[in-house]
Amino acid sequence: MQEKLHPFQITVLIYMIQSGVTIFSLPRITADAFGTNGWIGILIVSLYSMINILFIAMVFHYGDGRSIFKIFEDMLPKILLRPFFLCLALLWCILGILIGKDFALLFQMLYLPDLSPSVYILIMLIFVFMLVSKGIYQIGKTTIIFFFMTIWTIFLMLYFISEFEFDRLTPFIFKGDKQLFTQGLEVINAFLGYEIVILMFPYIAKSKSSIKAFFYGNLITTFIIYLPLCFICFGVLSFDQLKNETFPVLTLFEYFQFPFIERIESFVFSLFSLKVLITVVMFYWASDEVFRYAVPKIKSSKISILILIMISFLISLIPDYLLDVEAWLNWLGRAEAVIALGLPLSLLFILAITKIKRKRKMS
Amino acid sequence: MKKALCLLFILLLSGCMNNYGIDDLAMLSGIAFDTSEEDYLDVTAMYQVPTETDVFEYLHATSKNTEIELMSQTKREIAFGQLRIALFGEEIASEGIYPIILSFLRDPSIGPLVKLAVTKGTAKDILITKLEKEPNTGSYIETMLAKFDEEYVFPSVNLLRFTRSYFDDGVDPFLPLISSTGKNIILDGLVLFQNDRLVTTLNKEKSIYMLLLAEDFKKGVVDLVIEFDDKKEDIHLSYVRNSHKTKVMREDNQFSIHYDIEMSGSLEGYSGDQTLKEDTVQKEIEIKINNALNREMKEMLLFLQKHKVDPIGVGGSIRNSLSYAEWKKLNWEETYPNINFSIDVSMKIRNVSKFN
Repeated sequence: MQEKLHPFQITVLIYMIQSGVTIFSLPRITADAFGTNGWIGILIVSLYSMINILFIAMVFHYGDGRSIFKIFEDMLPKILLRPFFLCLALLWCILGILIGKDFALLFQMLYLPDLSPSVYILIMLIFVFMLVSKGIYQIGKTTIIFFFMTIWTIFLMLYFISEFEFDRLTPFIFKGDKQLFTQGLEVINAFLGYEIVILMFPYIAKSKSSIKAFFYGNLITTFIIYLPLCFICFGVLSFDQLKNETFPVLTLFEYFQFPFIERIESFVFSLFSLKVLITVVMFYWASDEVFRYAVPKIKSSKISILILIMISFLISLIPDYLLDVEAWLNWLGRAEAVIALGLPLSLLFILAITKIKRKRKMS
Repeated sequence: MKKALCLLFILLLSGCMNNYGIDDLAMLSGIAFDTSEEDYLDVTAMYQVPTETDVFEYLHATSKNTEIELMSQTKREIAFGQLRIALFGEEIASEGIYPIILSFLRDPSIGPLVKLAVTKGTAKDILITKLEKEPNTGSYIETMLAKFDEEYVFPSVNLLRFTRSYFDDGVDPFLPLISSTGKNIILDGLVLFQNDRLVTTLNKEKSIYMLLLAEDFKKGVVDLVIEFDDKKEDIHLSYVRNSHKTKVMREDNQFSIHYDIEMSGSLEGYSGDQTLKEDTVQKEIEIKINNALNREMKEMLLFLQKHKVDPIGVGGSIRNSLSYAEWKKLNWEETYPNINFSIDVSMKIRNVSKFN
């Protein structure tokens, strides 16, 4: 029998896919989106993703843990499904490589002006190939290691207790200029990633703890990472300063000064490449899963992942600069937000219809 | 096979990076900004190479070309990563320093820990001061300011703190003021800003009262003069501030603010000839200290009000007592000079010196 993912692995996987490069700019994005005390907005967006995850969990529960392909097949012919999943495969592999490229370009801008982003991307793709061809179970194990290598960085934030002031938070809630729609979507994007779980159903043991694990992942992202981070940024930086800082979290990391080391933000930033790697790997994994369904002629996962890597690499050459990449990511992120909500909803719809049909047949 | 491939890649990569020997770098430790003719900026930067200290200066460099101008004066590559201190001459400080601050903020190699200070006279003169024991003036000034910060005498202001106050609508920034005696560099007090322009200065003694009023400063030392039988006596106290309460009251558009500050101190120096052991003397000294503190701090508030600078965050207290719409409607320029201040400082003497 195939090995199943442990609930803890699911939790960590979800958290690792969710939080990525956006974490460095998230406090500013919340300030732009919600105005003063924007960190509270994190809770609202987190609630939204909780509801979204609830839909996914319902698909898992009512679909008896079947893969989404099988659920879709209950109602739709394969001819129709294949092009749809081909599009999804394309979206996910492009999203994956662009997340990687975004990180590489940031790395180049901030710390290594001499590094060509392509070098970074190539190395990253080698890792992607190795991990994805090994399958989800191995990815899960790697993720746990990377999780413990990065999670401690959040405790560095305790350093800021001396700089933190409640007065700076101001009593105003959600006041000032707001770009609820554009920046709000970016906050939603910061939470995206959990939707990948929908493809993991066949690899998850059907139990209550598995379903709980879906939610725990999002809870870790919200309450251990995003919320404390944003709260601290709002109390350490003044509001207008925060709005002008492109990467407020990096600025805070730059502020550390230990007797033996300073400017550790470059180290923390490099450490985050592990997190980004997992996000990229998971998008490629998802892409690979649906790609092999869409093109059943490809049996080996190694060949399909190679094809995907090549296609996405060629496409990733089109946006050259950081600003282009970010604009692309913005649009792809919006498409992803629609899919994250649309996919489980349509699956629930199909499940409901088939259930009704079955009942009618019975009677 | 795969492992070998990876190893090969890593080995190949090591050739891609540029490498610098430490001798090839001009790691700036201090930089000084002064005004020059018209739009030009007079920039002086200093760096230390392992064997010597070079100071290079340049005149008539526009702020945009500063880096190129500096580059053309040295064979080494200029690195800003180790920059410790940025000095601003009084003149440029009164014209506004935000454009320079902004260029710092935008440069990824400059961290938020760079300390800032204003100098009496030109900043260049301070930076090129040849100190006898410490040739690296830039890092000397930084260490000096850091020492004051650690001992809670004067807070040092770095890039992050200055920017924070600059952007905060409820508080104005301040910076330390330093001057040179030719052989030594000394801290003279604080300079107070309105936005990014220097408005007025405070000497060291007065600065203490300002810091006592500002909320984020919790301990320090204070020197006072009290009168005993028409005789002036000096007192040196180290204090811990136990509580700092601000109460904002409002009648129509007339604000009044009451400060309630409780401190405890230890009497570390006393020049008079009273017997400190006696309770009555202690009580009397305490009362006199409190009177002096109340008087000085009230004067300080009026002084700040007169110059329309707000380094202690009066605006923040008022902002946090209003609704957002009210705060935005408030004309701070007009409101601030009309605020009524009242103050109640009480200092408890915790212990007296170890010798009568």
